[in-house]
Amino acid sequence: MNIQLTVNGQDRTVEISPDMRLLDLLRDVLGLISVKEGCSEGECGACTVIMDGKAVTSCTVMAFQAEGSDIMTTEGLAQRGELDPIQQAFMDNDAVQCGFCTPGMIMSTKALLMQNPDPSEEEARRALEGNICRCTGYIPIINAVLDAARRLRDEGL
Amino acid sequence: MRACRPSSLDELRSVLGSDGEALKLIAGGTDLVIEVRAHPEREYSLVDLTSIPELSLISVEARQLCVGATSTHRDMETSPSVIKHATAISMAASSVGSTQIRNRGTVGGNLAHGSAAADTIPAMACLEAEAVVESCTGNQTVHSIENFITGRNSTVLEKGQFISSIKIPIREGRLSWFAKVGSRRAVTISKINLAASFYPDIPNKPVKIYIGAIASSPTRASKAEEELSRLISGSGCKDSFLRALSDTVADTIPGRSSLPYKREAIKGLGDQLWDHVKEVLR
Repeated sequence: MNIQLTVNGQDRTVEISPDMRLLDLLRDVLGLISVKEGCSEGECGACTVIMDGKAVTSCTVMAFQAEGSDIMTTEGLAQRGELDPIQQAFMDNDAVQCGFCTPGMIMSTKALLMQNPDPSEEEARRALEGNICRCTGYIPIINAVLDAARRLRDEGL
Repeated sequence: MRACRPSSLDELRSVLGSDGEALKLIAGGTDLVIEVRAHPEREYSLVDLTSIPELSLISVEARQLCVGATSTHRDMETSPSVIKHATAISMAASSVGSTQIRNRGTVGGNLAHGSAAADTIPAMACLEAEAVVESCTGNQTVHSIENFITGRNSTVLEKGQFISSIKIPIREGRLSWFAKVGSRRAVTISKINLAASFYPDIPNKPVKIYIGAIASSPTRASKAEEELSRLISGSGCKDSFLRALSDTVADTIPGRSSLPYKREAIKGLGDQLWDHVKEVLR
């Protein structure tokens, strides 16, 4: 079956099989390998993408359900060769260790900051509670989220 | 596997009327996608409900809050109407899973899945909510939430039927509350949960208390309701209230290995509820 959707700002028509998940579509069909497969049951958040403005685990969405939707992955963040302020904040705050969870963390952060440009620490923790990291201990990650919010607010001034 | 996305209720009814045994309705997919992947030997024919706009509406009509079946937990958490008229449901929905799961998981899916540990179901029960079920022929039946789940992961839903909405009566002066205990603070499945509705300014109005995650459907705690009513009338004893809750747990799951834990854990939730009501009465 064919579906039409927007991925990282580009309109795409994609051939999928009915048993494919959004995760499989993004990784295996479109080659967007920032989307990681971790637990495969919506627990770890490694496969987080933004679907119609909201963070979702792409392992619990069937690909055919994404017909007509607007999907954003980490590949869609950098513009004109420059990292997105969220990506830069993750690097500058040492919020990356092995890196496997990082794209999911960044997409949850992006979804949060699209809705709430000035989150409290508690709001940042809640937005990322569905993203598991086994390396960093979370403190640098939360620091990165709050730093990214500051950078984006400063950019907007 | 087959899949389709009806775009209207008429189209959905047509699909439901024509398809075979393998047909499964999918909305958020937070339970069903995992089930489908776990059973590659099964033949599934998935019908997506998220493509039908009418099923995700939240409205207030004729003293009723009407919540479309594919409204998400995030919708329950943030809708001003739900927060105002069905606080317990909003509190329960906000305690479900992670941000990503709340963005996809739906209130109708939670009910249709029939999990004993569901958080929104005791909250709906304490508010006397009803599920509107439609068939492929357009017939509507209304089921109380309390009687909707008939056993472990089974419900009153029959082949060719779907939940179209949840109706919650709006009662003047009624407040409601929800809390749960899980293995961790967030992103956790209830080991036990507690939902209540009460009228702080009208002592003679009924208090409703339901305990979740001890039986397949929410368990009413009648003795505890009586004690909380006494508190609202100006007396009431907290120890008696907590004992009544604990006794309800003991009577519901006698001999189960989790009983020693759950009959104590419910006292912690009861303590929170009692203090909350006292604070409201102050």
